[in-house]
Amino acid sequence: MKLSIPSASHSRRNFLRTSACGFGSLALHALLQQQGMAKQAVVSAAASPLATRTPHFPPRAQRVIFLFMQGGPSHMDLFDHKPLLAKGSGGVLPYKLPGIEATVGLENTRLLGPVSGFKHHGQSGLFMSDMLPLMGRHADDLCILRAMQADSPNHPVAVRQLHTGNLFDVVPSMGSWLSYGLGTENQQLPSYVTILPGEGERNYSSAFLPAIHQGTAIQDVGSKPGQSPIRNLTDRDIPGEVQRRRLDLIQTMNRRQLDRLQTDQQMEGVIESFELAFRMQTETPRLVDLASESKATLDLYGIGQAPTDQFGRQCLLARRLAEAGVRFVQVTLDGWDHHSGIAGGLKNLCAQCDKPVAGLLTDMKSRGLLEDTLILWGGEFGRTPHAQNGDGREHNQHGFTMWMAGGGVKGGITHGATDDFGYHAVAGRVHINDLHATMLHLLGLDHERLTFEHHGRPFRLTDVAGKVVREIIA
Amino acid sequence: MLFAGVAQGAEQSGEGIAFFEREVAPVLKNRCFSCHSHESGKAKGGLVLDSRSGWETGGKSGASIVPGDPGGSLLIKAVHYQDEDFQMPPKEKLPDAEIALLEKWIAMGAPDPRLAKATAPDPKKLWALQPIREPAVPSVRSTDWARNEIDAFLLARLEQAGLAPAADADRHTLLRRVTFDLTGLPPTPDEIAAFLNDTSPAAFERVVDRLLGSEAFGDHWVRHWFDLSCYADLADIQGNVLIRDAWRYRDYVIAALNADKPLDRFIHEQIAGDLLPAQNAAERRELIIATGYLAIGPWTLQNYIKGQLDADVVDHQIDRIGRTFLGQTISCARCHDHKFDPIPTADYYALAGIFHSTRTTSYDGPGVWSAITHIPLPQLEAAPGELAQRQKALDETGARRQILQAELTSLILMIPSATSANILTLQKGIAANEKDRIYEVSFESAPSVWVNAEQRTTAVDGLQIDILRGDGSILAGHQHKPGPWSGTKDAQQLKSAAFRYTGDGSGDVRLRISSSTPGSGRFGGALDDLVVSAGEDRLFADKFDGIVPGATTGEQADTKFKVFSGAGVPNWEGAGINHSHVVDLGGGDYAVQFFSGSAGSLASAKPVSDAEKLAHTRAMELQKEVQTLDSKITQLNALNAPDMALAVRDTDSPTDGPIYKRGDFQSPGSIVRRGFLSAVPAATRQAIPQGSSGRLQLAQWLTDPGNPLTPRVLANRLWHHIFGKGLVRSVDYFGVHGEQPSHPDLLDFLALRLRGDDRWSLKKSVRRMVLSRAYQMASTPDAAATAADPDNRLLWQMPRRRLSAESLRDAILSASGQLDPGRGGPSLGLELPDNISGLGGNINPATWAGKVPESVSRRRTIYFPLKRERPQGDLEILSTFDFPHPSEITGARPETTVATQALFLMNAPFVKTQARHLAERLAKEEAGDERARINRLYLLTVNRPADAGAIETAMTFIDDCTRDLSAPARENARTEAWTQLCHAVLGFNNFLFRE
Repeated sequence: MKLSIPSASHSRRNFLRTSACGFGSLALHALLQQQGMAKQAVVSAAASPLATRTPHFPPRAQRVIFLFMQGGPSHMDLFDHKPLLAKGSGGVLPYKLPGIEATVGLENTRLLGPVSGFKHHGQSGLFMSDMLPLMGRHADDLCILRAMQADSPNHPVAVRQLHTGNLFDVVPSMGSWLSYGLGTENQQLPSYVTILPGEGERNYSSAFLPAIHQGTAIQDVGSKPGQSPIRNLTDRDIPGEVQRRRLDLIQTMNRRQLDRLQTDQQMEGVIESFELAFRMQTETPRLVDLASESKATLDLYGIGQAPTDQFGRQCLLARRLAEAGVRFVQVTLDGWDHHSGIAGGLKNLCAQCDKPVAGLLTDMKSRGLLEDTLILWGGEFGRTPHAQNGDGREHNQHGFTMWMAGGGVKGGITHGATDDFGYHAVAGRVHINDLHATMLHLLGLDHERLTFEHHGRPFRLTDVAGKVVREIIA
Repeated sequence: MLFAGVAQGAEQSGEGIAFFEREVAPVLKNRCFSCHSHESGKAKGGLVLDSRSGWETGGKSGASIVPGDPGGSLLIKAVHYQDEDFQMPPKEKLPDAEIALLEKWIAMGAPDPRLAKATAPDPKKLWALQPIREPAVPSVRSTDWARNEIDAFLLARLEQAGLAPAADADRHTLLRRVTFDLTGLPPTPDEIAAFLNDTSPAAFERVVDRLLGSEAFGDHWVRHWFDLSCYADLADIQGNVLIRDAWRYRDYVIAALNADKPLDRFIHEQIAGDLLPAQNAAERRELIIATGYLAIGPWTLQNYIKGQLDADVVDHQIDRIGRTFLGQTISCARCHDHKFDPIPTADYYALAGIFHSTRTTSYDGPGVWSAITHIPLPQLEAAPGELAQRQKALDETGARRQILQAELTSLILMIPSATSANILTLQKGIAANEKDRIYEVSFESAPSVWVNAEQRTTAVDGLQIDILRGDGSILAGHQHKPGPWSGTKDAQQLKSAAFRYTGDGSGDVRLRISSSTPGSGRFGGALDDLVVSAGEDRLFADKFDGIVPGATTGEQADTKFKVFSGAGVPNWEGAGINHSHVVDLGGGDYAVQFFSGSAGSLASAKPVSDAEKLAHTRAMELQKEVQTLDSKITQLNALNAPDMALAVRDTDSPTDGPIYKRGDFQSPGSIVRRGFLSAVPAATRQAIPQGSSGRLQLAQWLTDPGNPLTPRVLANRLWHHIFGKGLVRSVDYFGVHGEQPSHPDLLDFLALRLRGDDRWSLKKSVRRMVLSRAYQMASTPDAAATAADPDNRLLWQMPRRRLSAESLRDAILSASGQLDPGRGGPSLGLELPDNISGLGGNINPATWAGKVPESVSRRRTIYFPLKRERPQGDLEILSTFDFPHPSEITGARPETTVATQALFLMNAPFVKTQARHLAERLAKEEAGDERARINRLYLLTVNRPADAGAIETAMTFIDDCTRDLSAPARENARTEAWTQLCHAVLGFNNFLFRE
């Protein structure tokens, strides 16, 4: 059956949405119909394209904080201990390397034993690296996925797959899909925020979804005075009252034009967008300003301390945004690409990462937010059991570790396993598509039903794959 | 009725079928059909369960049911959840009772009366595939309104609906509208005045012809084309991989649009220009450049699975052509027959064969990167003597470099800490230096590489062979470049070479061999079979086969030959890192190879003795000089090198290709003959000649009179750009699930005119549209019309549209007086220092450092470098205002209204700066009267005079900004207030939108 376009389609809602060929409204309508509440929801959606929407089924999590460890953290040194690898260190790798992977510097494929000690933590006794002692205290909340799989050993491609599910095409990122599927709780803020994302705008792009679902980049977390936290958010050269006066002039003239037109939803939309922009200009710096936080909280995240200051600020800001109702918050920590000197490199990165992440878990829990916030930690792939450049490790997408916490997942468990050397996932495999399916499921969305019509066919975050990992759901 | 089929086969008993219908069918329908049926449009794992043949054929894993053998049936294994990776249905295990039913049914022999359903939709029903027929121009009641046929078609529908067209727009509105629509720029105050003063009935026609004839037309309409063809000045998904020559294709399209090249020819040239005949070198160049249409695209060049890369490139090319010209999503048929539209998978691979027979990217290795095909362009006639002069300069510079490099190498050798390059010097002198006698040094050489593929010979590296006198001075020197390491198994192939020198009678000489690029960290090459002779006399020969290998270091990259360092080479003294490097060619045959040593070794050398210090000073001077000569040689060579274009060509052996099962290039199926869409039977199919890809025949098929899609789709695109929305609003998709045309007869009328009377002239079609009375309607509210036709599908008013992103930028620059009128040519600024990184000596391609040259930074947006990513930085305005991603095919841009746009207009440095320029311009052009100045501000921005109310409001704003200030402060504040006023106007809806 072909759906008719809702009669309200000439309204502001229609042009607020990106709709290449008029399919957008069809898809939205279809989505709402699936929710069994088309009429009701069309009315509320008309209020704002970001208005909250009812999920497909009762959710376990309301929001996501994704701690993106860019570069590919070494799973066998952090979460996936391999006694045989330790024993065989310096020996020959018992695998034949696929031709393409024997790349530069891998002529000497000797095993490199774990560069960190491991201990059991918590009641669950999760076995974790000594480099992450504070995270270890949260072992009983962690759900460690030890058999992650991706499809490319190439940074930009794998990073894109992790964010969008797709290796090559320009498709929406997972935060955009969540924003599209669920809307957001706070209409004063963007639904999807990414904190210090670095390069790669495509990874938080809404692609063909309406532009409003694009990730908003926070470019500064208060450590660089003078820098605007969101692009073009403020203008420090012009006094506030002058800016307000200028805005009033714009609004006066635009309203005058609107009066002539009697009613025009599109022109009204522009007027409202200026008002919202002015509110964001006032509200966002306040939200980003960490000064209102107590000393104890700042200390908890390691803010004001050498290795943890920056990432601590990012994590604390993530909590503030999650608390304020932002649907998807991403925090990026780059530098895990240890091709050489992995023992020292990993130690440095862990020193930056351990306290802020542990602090975030503590803080979220004490505020009762962990329960309905899914926290996800991990990189685009893991690393090889054999040495590169003598004391580093190459990329490995065949098996690696990520972890989840809160938001309806079981704590204190590991799921899946790699082989004896940590090279290939062999049991309980979780492909990136499965990770996405599971994430959507925890937020109450069926990954096969969250679709958007684009160029004549429905698109999904998981494309034609993806399986919910039910074993890890509490 | 659930199943349309009838019982087949006598062996299926009535009882079995009844059991199936009653018990089994509901289980399959409820539990499996959502992923495995035609009804759901899904065939996961290739399996459908809505017909008998579905489970008989099975999916990827084979037949899913073995009648009579439940235990051996995959379906039963899956529902039992025996294997972790093969569990069906995936979400939840079936109740035991249902599993038992399925087992019982299979044990019965799986009676199943259902026949396979016909899957292909009937093309006869799809409106877009119907032949185009000349429609009758309808008669209308109000006979004085319509100016041309377009108006008659539109008015007839309005009258049917009881609606009337809006009043005519005023002349300011009309001029602003047509100027933006045709050129992407605002009308200038002079143009406004001229139009207002021209009271003749042909005034508007004159404006239209002026705009159609202006170069700005091409500068604007090229973007409509690029929105469909994914243009960018740089490559790869990270967006900054250098491709130098994309601009040639950009300039080709602009020139073609301005020349009104007929669209059929335009299509033929871009798809198959290389296969068309050319009259002369200039035309040949143009035809090669045109195929940049196929060569430029969102290729993932670093995809290390090259079969996948090729398949993805081909897929994008098919997708692009399918949507752009045919309005069909052919790509859907890559993995399965199209779900809705009459496009079988065989049609997809018939087209794929054409593009697999076309070279778009190529991989030469080493590393993971492929390159886009570059094709040298035939040289245009050079000025007489120019070439010879250039060659002479090149020869002279080269000779000078030879001499200097020989001296430099000599000096470097005197400073032990200066180099780690390998050098071999003959231990004893040879008698090869009689005065005036000519000697020949012949040898074999090849590029070389170490175990590490980065340490290899590149095009700039080579061997330096010097003839030393007894005192160490140089009698003669020679540089030999064996060429770059190809990264293949045969790369170490030795080739013969020779040079001559003349003796000076100063006594025995010694040979010294090293890399010609010491310190580069690469290899100069390999050398074998060295002979010094004079006429028939062989004075010295060495095959380097008596070598005593050093410690085994490893396998040479690519060839897997053994390579050694620290080898003993009889007759020769070794110096440098590990003394001597050797490659074992097998069977006792060795060659010596020359490592260039680490970078920067001369600069960081620590000379000890006075002699060393002296040598060091001189060597530093020489090195600088050699580098200067090198860059001169590079420049001269660049002048000599032919211009290159990003273009495609046929492969060496064009051929039909296989269907890739489920779209997987590693699962080739049966071969499909190259061809076109079977759903367009009326279009003539030219046979593809032997040895040709078939692109030319494809291009001809696209524009064949029997093909109703191309003219319909293109006419609709033109309408979309002129009237804001297509007659078919899904402009890229005319398939079953696309939209129906609002005015089918009008669309056919336009399509026929485009193809027929207008002979594919874009400008004639556009002209007809803008000269219609409909185009000249006002954008005015009408409550009754809004109620009857809220989406304005019948076009009762002209829709208001926001300026496109690039028009917005260009209009701001135009208003502020900062727009640079320059056009064409390269835009990346590669001549700027450090604007390219990673050139040479690297297995990764060079990248662009992002410096936008001054020469293009204030030009129209089309001449600004466009990276293959969402535009950022200087072009942030584009992303903010819905400019499409350069890798997406976007026939109709979205028009969003979001707060980030308001933030941009309020705070972006670009807007602030241009507001200041605008205020300065106004102060200069209207120095006296502030009210006149406001009027001029309005003329420059909203392109109409300011009315009294607007002037009062603006004056109040200026006064308010300065009221509370003291007299001296007020003057400055007034200047600033003007900047603020200009800034505000750039946020007025009257500026941002065109009515």
